[in-house]
Formats: sequence, structure tokens, C-alpha cells
Amino acid sequence: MRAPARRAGLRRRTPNPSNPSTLQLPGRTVLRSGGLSMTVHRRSAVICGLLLIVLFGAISASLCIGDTYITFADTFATLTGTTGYDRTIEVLRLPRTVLAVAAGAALALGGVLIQSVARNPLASPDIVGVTAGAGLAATFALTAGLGYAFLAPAALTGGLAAAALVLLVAARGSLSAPRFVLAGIAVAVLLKSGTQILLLAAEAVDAQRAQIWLIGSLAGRGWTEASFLGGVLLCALPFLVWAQRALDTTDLDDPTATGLGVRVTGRRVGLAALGVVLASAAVSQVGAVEFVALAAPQIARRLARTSRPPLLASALTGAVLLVAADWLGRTAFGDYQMPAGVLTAALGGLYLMYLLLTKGTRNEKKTAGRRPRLRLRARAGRVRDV
Amino acid sequence: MGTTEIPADPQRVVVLDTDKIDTALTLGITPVGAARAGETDLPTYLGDLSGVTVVGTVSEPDLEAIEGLEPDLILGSKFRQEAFYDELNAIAPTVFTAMVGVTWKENFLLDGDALGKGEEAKQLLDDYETRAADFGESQGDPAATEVSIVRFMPDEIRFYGPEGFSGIVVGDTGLGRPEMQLLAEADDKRIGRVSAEEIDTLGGDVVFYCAYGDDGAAQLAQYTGGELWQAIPAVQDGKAYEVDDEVWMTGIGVTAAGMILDDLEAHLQAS
Repeated sequence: MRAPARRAGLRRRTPNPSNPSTLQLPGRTVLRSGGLSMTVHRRSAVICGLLLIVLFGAISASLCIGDTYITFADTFATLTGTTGYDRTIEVLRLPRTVLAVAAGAALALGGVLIQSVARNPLASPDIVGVTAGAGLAATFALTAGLGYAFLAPAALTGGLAAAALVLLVAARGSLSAPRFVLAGIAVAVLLKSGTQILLLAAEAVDAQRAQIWLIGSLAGRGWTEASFLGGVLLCALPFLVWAQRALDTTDLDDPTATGLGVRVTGRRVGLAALGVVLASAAVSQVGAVEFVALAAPQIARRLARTSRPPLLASALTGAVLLVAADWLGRTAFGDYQMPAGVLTAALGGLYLMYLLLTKGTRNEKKTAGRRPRLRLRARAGRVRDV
Repeated sequence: MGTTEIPADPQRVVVLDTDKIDTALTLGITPVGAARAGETDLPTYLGDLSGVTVVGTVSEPDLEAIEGLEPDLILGSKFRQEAFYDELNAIAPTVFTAMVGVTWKENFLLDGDALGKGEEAKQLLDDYETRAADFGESQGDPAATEVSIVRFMPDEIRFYGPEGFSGIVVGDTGLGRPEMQLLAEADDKRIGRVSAEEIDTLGGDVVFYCAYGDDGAAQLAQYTGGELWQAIPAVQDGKAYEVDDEVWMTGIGVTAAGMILDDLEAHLQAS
């Protein structure tokens, strides 16, 4: 039983004659197939299409342009068969590019989920302690002389443990947004000071390796890391489909959401846990790459003009950012291999300033007026955007 | 990390750690490419390296630049480039040594084998050890002379124990070391540290000191001008000598070891 059928009064002036009970939603198109139906936010769909094209461009640049320039035709031929460029493309460029796509998408998805739960556009895995926990564990592994094989598992464990600690602290009560952010900052600061102590006590060479890890780099990483992250993303897919719906209630205030029959705390914990797992997985494989999880959701939201960060468009934006940062770091600085995290962090600083300078005009003014009410009504009717 | 087929007589060698630049040149092979240590340039004590292409840093090698050089052998350290082994080995047969420093003699022989010059390497190492021992004997009772090795880092003052590279070379001559610098109680017998207030405890009949980088040199200038440094007996006797950090510390190899012996001969023969 679809809600609009009971709401004839809300029907728009030009109802579809074949579906007399359809509620026309502004900016959305309803897709129907047999008994299934869903709404698609038209602008989001267009933006996703455009982002796919941009991502394709970034991947092409990453595969074609480097110390050796390989034409697009030759690159394509190498991927499908054998040319003289097999090693350059298939060993040196393709694995890290695929990893950049997976890690960028996972970081951005983690960002969307955590930002939505924290109801703070600047909340990123840093805030909930994921990066700090992974960083401390990885620094320990590198400076204590544990083998390279321990690095990623240690970082993953550290990230998850730190986030669990934050959730534990914040979940006393109702996991309210300010508690969540404050607990995250407190844990992150504590863990970062631990990392600093380890770095200061370590040998210069160990400390340098740990620093590179802390910045985040795709150099020397490839199929192993990419397939791990791909597996995580695949396992997360059903939960992401659930999150797509569940996210709609996270930016309502608690009494409203409760009034709609939402179990607020349970839903927040679920969403935060999913975000933490995705962010931890990504950080454990590529290091503490900054900016992607923080800004990709906000960029995607502004592009798609949706009320909250859209999942798919954010994932695509994150992938584009990391592929581009890795490619630039690899090619733009001569023999010096700039870790991808340096470029994403530099861009992050600029973007944060942009947000601070323009926030008053872009966010606060726009959300006043008709749209919030419309959104609420749409939610009551269980509208889903894809 | 696996086995690899290496060419019998490699012509185009890329070296990814500072000790391997020394090794290759000692054995008469000029590498086509070499990695820098951090922000510094290639070492200068090995003569003109203008024909050697810089391929990134020891911890972040530039893989595409290495591939562009079309090497037939890559030498590196597991300790530094473990993450890059698969990529490097796809470019050319890659041989890693496990550690840097403590095992420098074994590394030299292994790298010598990889370069197809195992016999020469063994001979050169024997020559060096003979020379070191002969020099020790020329001193009469070498153990009676205590040699202090001090290095000024940007953020700390170090002394080098019996398992640091320069400590091993001094040990090969049979010269003595100050009690504290033997690091008898420490797990890591390469390096010890003193605070700025303990400089006068460094000891030794002769002091060799050097500085890492420009920031280290600033520390060196500051502390060696201070009263505590002047309170060291060897300094008062005029037996403190500044030496080249690249040779005593970062170089690591038979050529660098020979140059340390040169320094010892120049400053100890008179005593």
C-alpha cells in the first residue's frame, strides 16, 4: 500500500492518467516496473552520469600519461591484449588506479554516513577517530619493526577500535550529534598525541616511513589492496541500499524522527558503524588520505543540490578526487613522488576555507522557505532517491 | 621474498639505497639510476655521479623513471622498499638485502654476487680487513686508545656503538672505545644518545665528530663552541676532528670504510 494513494488531496494538477494515484514530486521521476516503483532525483541522476564521464577521463589520464606517454588507443589495446606497454600499464599504473577508485569511493561513502550521523558537514573519519586510531596502530607497527604484512591489519584494527571507543562514549544517552563529534575529537586528539610520542622516539628512517603512511600514498600498493577493498564494498552493498533509505531521517531533529516511528539511536549506530567500517577499510589500505571523506560528500551534495549528501554521487566524486590526486602526485613533480595524501590535504585546506567563506550564503539562506516542508512530506510518503 | 633469475653480467643497474651506490662503484660499476636519501642529493664522496639518473627517494622510488632506464638488475633493501618488490621485480630482476648498516659486509658480498663480481667483492673486503688490522698493529696496543664517535643530528646528539657502521670499522682496527660507547647494556648497539648537558661525558682519547645536514651543522657549531664541549679532555688536547658525515655515517660500504681508515691514519699515526 503506497502512501500517496491515501493522500488524494496532495495530488498535483496534472496526474498521470494511467496512474491516477501518482503524487508528482518536484525534481523527481517515478520509475515503475511491474509492482516495483522508485523515484529518481533527476538532477542527481544527471550529475552521476557526468561524474562517471569525469571519472572515465581521470582514469584514462592516469593510465595514459606518465613518464612514458601512451596513446589512448594503445592503452585500450594493452588492456584487452598484448602490446609493448603491458608492464607500464598492467603493473605500474592500472593496479593503483583501480585501488584509487575503490579507496576514493569507500572513503567518500564513509564520509557521507559519518557526516549524516554527526549532522556536521565537516565530520570526516578524522572526527570519529578512525584515521587517528589507524595512524597510531600503523605507526606502532612501522616503528616497532613488525613486518610489512602486519601493517594493514594493524591499521584496520586500530581504526575500528578507536571508532568503537568513540561510539561507546557517545552512545551513552541517545548518541546525539554534538556528543558524537565531541567524543570523536577527544579520542582523536588522544590517539594523535600517542602517535607523536612514537614518532619522536623512533629512528629517523622508521619515522619517515610512518610519516609517509600517515599522509597516505598509493605507491607500491595494488591488486592485493584493491581486491580487499572491492570485497568490502561488495559486502557493504546491501547495507548501503538500506542506508540510502535510513539516511533520510538522520537530519530530522530527534522528536520529529521519533514521531515518524524511527528508532533514532539504533539507526544512527547502524549508519555510523557502516561508515566506520568503510572508512577504516580504506584507510588501512592506503593510509590516512585526507580531504576525500570530508569533502567528496559536500561537493556531491552541492552539485546534485540535494538536502543531504547523495551516496552514489559522493562515491563517484571521491573516486575522481583520489585518482586525480594520485596521478598528479606521480607525474607532476619530476622524480619526487608526491604522496596522494599531500595533494588531497592541500586541496582540503583550500576547500575548507571556501566552505567557511561562503557557508552563510549557500547553506543557511537556501534551507529556509518551502523546501524543508516539502522534504518532510516526501519522507512521510517514503520517497526514495537513488 | 622469493627467488629471481639474475643476469650473469648486468650492465644497467639501478640502486635504491645509499650503501649500494658505494658497493656498485667500489666494484667498478656505475649504476644507471640511484635513489636519493630523503631530501639530500646523491653522495659526493664517490666522485662525479652526474651520469647517474636520480630515481626518486629511497622510501618513495619513482617506478616509471626506473622502468624508463630499462635496467637489467635492481638492488634495494627489504627494510626500505618492501612494498615495491612486486613492481620492481616486474621491471627487472630485483635483489633485496634485509638490513642496512649492521650487516654491511654481508650486504656487500651479496650485492657483489648479484652484480656478477662475487670474487672481486670478497677480495676487496679481505683487503680492507687486512688494512684495518695492519693499521691497528702499527699502533702498538690499539685497544689503549679510545676512539669517540659523535654525530650532531638536528634534534639530538648521538654517539655510535660497536654495531654502527663507523663503529664496526673502528672495531676492525682493534682500537678501543670509551666505556659508555660500547653500549654493553643496550639492545641496539648501533646508536646511543646524550643530552646537551652530558656532552662532557662522551669521553675518548680521540674524538671524531660530524653533523647530519644543515640543521645538524648548526647544532654542531652551537655545541662545539660551548663550554661543555671544551671540557672534554680530547678536545683540550686538540684531538677532536670533524669528519665527513657521508663517509662515516650515511655512506656505508667498502669505499667509505677505506676513507674512514684514511681519517684514522691521518689523525692517529702521530700518537
